[in-house]
Amino acid sequence: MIDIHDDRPHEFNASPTKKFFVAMLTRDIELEDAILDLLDNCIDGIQRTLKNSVEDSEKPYKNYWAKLTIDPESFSIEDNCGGIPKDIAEDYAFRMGRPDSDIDRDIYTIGSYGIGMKRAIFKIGQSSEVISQTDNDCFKVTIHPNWLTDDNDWKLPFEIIEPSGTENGTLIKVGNLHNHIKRAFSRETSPWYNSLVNKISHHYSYILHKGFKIFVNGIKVTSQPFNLLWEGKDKMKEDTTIAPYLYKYEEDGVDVKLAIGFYRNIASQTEVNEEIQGNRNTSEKAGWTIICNDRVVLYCDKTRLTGWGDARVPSYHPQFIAIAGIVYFRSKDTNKLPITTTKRGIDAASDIYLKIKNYMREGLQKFTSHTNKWKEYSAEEKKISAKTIPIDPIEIFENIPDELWKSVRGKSNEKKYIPNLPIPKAKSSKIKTKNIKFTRPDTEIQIVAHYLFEDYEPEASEVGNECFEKVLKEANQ
Amino acid sequence: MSGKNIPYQLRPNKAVDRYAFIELLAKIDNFPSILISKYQYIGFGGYSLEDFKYIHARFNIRDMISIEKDEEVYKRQQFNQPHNCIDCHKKSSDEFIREFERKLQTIIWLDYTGKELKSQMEEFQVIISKLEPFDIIKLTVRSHAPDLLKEDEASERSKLHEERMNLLKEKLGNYFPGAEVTENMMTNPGFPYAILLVIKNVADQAMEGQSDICFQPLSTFTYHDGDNMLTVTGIILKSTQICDFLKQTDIETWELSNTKWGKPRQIDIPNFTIKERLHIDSLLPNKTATEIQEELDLLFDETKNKTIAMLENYILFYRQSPYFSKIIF
Repeated sequence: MIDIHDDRPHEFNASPTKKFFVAMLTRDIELEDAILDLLDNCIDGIQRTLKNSVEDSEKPYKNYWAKLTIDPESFSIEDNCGGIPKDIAEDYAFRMGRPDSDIDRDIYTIGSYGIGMKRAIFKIGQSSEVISQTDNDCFKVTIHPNWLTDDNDWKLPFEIIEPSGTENGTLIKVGNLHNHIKRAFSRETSPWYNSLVNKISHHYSYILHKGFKIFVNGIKVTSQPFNLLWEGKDKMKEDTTIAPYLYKYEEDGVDVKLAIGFYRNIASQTEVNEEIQGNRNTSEKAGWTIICNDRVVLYCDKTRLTGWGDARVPSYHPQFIAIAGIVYFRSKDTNKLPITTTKRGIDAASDIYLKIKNYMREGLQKFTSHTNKWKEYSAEEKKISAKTIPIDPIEIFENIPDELWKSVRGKSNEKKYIPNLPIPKAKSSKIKTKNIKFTRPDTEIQIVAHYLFEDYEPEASEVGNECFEKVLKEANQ
Repeated sequence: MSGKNIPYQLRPNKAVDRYAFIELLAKIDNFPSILISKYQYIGFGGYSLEDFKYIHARFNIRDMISIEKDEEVYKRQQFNQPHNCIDCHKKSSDEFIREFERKLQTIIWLDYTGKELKSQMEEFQVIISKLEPFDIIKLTVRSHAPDLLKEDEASERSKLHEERMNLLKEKLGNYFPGAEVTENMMTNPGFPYAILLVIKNVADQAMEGQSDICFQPLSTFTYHDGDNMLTVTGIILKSTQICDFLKQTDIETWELSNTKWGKPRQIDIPNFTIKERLHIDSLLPNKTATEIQEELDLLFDETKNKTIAMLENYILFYRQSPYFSKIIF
């Protein structure tokens, strides 16, 4: 019972417990995402280092690396990305949450909540050591298991140590791993390693392409370049050409570039049918990829989130297997980027994303309707596609003649380029056309395919088309 | 489905692989709770149902199912039926695997020859998730790097391996083991190991969340009878039984075993004359390759070292190597 005569101040303890903090922080994040947060810190480190140097625009990250060493007993990540400056360490790197400050306000970082490193460490194990070496300092912070349970001790002592490496960077070692983490890290049975590497290869594809190197247990992670089909600068001035739809926008410290087009020839009916029956899986590269400050935050998305099935754009279907798009957002103020707190998703309600989504839909409409026009003529379309080259869309932004950009609503900071895509001859002329469709045993199609194409393995529709072309040629002679 | 046009006598390495499989089954048969004769055997027998003959002859398995999608091969199978205990199904492997309901202890040999690696991996994943402890599975797939990209198709000679790896990644999606497969495996000799790591990843994914059972590899071979092939044989085991099983069956000490997903062994049987072979066989098992080479003083390949390497491979597989000779009926 409360004694009303007790003259001590009447108050309850509302301070947080560490156990609560640690459990809440780590509960809703996947292990893989927690590790990606650590890699994000490496990239932020590079951005700080590059701040005052001349940027190599093609491969700005080429001298930087991160090495992850993972086994059932320990986890470590080491990089040469500049280390944690002491002011950042004091201000937020080791605090639970980032206070308002001007640190990193003028560089292209992605961390804004100040929880990534701590969350990853606590997710993995109970003890850790962080060593950072910069031009000015070299320090070590050790977190012991009992620190995680002591609610009164919120300070983390650091030791100044002698620099041990030739390059500036950070080394994070985590020990006393949680049991479920040990299981995930056990190499004999765990497919988790491959899943982690695949995820790194997707989310850092753009950065890896720009020269950054990531090693997981000594194996270098590779990425596939994002390319779209293009017939070249000269063809852009002609009546029709295969080129991506492009859009660019710059305002209030945010740069946006958007490109959508084909990365391969359009799907034949056989391919579509096989995809629907689950006998083929070639949709992997189709859809929208969104990049914020060089990190892929959404990879090959084919849902309403990126405009599919929204406002007169058809929903994704294997027919649209050849369509891929990319949006690059870039800002020195992380809060202006349309990303969620996990940094692995899009904030679909943000104004900037809603604005850009209009152009994503416009681009999608262009290429879905082109696909629909050509779907009965996939063999002919394949021949047109064969004249294109796959190219990084950024190169098209750099090479497109100025006069082809059209300003949007008369604004000088917002421009787009809409390609005039070719239409099938049969549809563009007044010649009446009819479809021929017939079914033959697979074995017979293979015999004819081998006779007509030798080693090349064509689609059934190509075999049918080639037979007709051959006979038509003979008949015309 | 299974090498329908190449006669078996022209595929000596495949024949060795088949004999090694029979030897492995005999070892598995030594495990106390296993009786191979009571198993059901499922395979892609091809037109001559060759593997069915050997397995029936050696183990007296009487419940056998052959899967064949090609109408003509199926007709020849029915004509060639060596015994009346083989139930020939005219359907694709995909159809069979989707409908498959395991009722008996099973040995299944998915003997693929096509290039559709992704769908083969999907079928493998589906089948191992339907199998029970002590069921045995053998998987044979193409492991021919030029299937992805021939040397002259690369954009630059120096980019061949990088481009092959990108294509493999694209083809396999989430089955691609990015943490294990590297660009330097994209060569002709390195490629079978890359495919073995893909199979390991698929097996691991199929067993995810079930720490009490696993797919235990037992032997893996690669051979070249035209194109490079890779074959893996494994068994579904309870995790607690692995040590006992490998010990009691003697697979642990078998010279042809591969129980830790190591590099596959190459089967490459030299083309000896019968006289040479009989002579070499008479010197085995107690002489080494070098001793045999010195005694014969013949070169079976360009150099002495290559000849010794060839003899070493032969010594490993001489017990499983078939004799092919002409018979006039």
